[in-house]
Amino acid sequence: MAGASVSRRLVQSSGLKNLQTNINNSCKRLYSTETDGTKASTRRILAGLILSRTPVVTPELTEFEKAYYHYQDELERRLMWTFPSYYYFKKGSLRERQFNAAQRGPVPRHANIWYPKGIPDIQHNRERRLKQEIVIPRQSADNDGLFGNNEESDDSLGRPIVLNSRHTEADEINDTTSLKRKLDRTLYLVVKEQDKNIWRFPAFSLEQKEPLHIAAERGLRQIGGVNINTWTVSNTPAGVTRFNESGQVIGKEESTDSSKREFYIKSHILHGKFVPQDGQDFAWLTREELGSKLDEPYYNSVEPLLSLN
Amino acid sequence: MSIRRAFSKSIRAYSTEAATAGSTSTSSSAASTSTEAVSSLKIRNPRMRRAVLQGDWIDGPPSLRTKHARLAYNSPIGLKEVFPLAYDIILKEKARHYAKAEEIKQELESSDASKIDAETRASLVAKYNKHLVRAELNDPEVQYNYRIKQLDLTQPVYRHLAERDWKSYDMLITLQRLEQLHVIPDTLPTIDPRADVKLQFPTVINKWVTPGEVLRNAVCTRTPIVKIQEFQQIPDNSLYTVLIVDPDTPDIANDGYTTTLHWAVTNIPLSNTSPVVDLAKSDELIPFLPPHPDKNGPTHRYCLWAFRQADPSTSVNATSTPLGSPTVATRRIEIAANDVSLARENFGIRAFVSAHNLDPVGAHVWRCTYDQSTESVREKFGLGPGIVFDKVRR
Amino acid sequence: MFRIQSSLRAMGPTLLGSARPSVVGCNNANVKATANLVLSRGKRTKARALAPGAQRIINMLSVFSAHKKQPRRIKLAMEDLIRHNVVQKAWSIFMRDKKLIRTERLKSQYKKIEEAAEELKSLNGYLHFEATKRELGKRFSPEMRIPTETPPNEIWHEDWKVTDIYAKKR
Repeated sequence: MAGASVSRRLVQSSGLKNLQTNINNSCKRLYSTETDGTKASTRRILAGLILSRTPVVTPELTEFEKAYYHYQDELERRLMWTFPSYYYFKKGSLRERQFNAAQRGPVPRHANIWYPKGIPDIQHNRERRLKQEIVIPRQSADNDGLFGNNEESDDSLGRPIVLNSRHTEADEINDTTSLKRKLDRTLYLVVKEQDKNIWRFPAFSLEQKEPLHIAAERGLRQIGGVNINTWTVSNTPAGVTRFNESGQVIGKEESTDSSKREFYIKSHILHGKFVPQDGQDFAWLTREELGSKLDEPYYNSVEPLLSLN
Repeated sequence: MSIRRAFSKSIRAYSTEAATAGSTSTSSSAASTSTEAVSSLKIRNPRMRRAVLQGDWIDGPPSLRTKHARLAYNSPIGLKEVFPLAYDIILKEKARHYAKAEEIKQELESSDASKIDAETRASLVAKYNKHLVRAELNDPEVQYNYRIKQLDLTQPVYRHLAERDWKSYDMLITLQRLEQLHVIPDTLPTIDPRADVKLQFPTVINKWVTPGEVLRNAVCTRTPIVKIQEFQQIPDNSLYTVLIVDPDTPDIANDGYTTTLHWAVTNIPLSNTSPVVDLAKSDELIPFLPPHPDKNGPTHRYCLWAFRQADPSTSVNATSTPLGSPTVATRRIEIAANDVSLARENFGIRAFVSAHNLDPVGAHVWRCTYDQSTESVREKFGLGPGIVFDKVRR
Repeated sequence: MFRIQSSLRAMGPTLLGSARPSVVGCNNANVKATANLVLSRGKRTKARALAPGAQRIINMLSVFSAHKKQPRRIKLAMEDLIRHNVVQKAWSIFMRDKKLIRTERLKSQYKKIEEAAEELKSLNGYLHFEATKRELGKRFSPEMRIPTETPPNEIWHEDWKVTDIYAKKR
């Protein structure tokens, strides 16, 4: 019963209406005994899931990028037109006076004076050979009725703009189960296989007549709870890894028809979190961290499927 | 102020001298991939070098002439911070190109290089040259030397820059004039321009003749100074031939025109760094005959053709060819001065070119017409009274 | 701005409070005052004051016009020009390398997809058919976020419930 409701919710959430009948059929079979009609090949095929949390913030800039953007920004400011203060502030108004008082004016031009940095070329209170620096007059909320008097209120228009930190609490304690860690990187979900004590991407065996992407989504909800909102990138698997009988990763040449295969479906988590239903260990890791967590042949086989950032 | 200017002038004079001196000494090491050895890829003036590479100056950028300009100058904000990082990237890219060039060099010089066929070898050599050019092209020091026109043409990058400049203007002008004045096909059928051919007369100091220009007869009395600048790497003492012909000599008997040979020089030794024709070292078959058009006759074209004395036996794929130079022109031509094919009158330039297997690489043209100085030129050189044409044939 | 003012003056008395009798008639008071105050020293005259409408037009025109508001051209010394070009070239090399790595990655990922699909086909026709079916009308989920420079106040909506979908629909 629970399984049926899970898959119904899954279908609702992913919006794949046309597959509803299909999955309902497979759910019915969940509790019936496996028939002999199950293809032998289906048992050897697993639906792996590469569930990723896409970056929340933009990637960290390199030193060169930072310096280059700063240089371009300064060039743009240098080439910017003079700010038309006379347009924005009514002549003789209090606002105009406040604005003018806040400006650090350019070096004035007088006759018969030697200017070592060249004769000033001033128009509209701007030195036209340099960038114009505009100072916005700071107003306290008290003497300004416009923006409200309550400074503490989050809704107050006059409150100062404070940017959130790109570095979170989860980063501090390096909480690998948190989705709020490493905001500028893609995080991937890996789970620990209890019996073998190794880390793997979650992989699920297929029900009868169940496509790979449906199996992956269903399996995720079975092991991680229903309160996850995901978006499957494609029905088509992004890659395949082959295993021999002892669970070792093998190459394409060494594989036979009877070797086990995991086909990976890519999916993004949008909301919610992974809550292990049977106390399984899990972690959200970046690509580099996966390198140290997963065993090497397995990592090498799945690494090309991961994104660079 | 004047002292400073004089000083900077003397510096410039010194540096150009040094450039020419350096170019002759490094001419053999052009194909080497080590950059440290080549001083022409560096800025000579240490003050300028510091200014370009570190943005480091006392009162202002040294390229500005006056002290006022230097003091008033504002460097863009942020440039000083970003430049070292950018320069690192450029240096890495340079190292990458040199590594690739070295790879190709190894391949060409390895034991199984003889198995490489001519076409592959040519493409590999072209690739090798391309990497050498790309390695240095974005270097700020090379860019500086290019801007002050201090080009050491033994270096692939400077040859590339010089060729780019030539192709963007001078070559186009020359080709346009050659076509407009029908030098092609009146003298030779066509041209595949590969060398910058320039011409000036000793009578007018330091002025190269623009192709197609109409010159006074008095100007053209002395043997011209000819410069044939190749942009590919050529071995030292490659041999060239220069001909000046006038295809507009009136032929009254046949009611048409014939071609007159005004100048013929062969076995001119040239190199990338010494592109000027040196008559002392070459064979002047026919001395220069000054233009002397007839009165009331048409304007004459004086077409200069420059040829490589290409050697068919040493082709591109020969292993003896120095890496990076696809041309070998070292064949000597032996023609007696009284050769029939070298007659001044009724000269057949096409027959001459095919007979001696010459490879035209560049051309030039100027024009002369009867003017005030023609009679004195005729008198001075004993050319006799010319024909005076009239509206009615007598 | 001064030029505009003079050109407006040339347009006649409709826009400017001139000394002549106004056609519009709104400036009659000013006109009279001007006539009286022309020679009085130390007092503010309204002779050069513009009609409010005209002043507004002048303000707007001066905002749109480039005259005197443009900065001076950047004149780089040769050293700085070379340094600037080096920076630009380095940037293009940097971006080229970045793009190259990304393209290589995409190429290899495409190969992996192809390989997996081929293998799936050889193993199980049904799964291959389902996996390569065209997903008509498939688009990115509107709930996906574009990375921003700083995180939002609620970094991750962890308390999301499946039932939220129904709540939203209602």
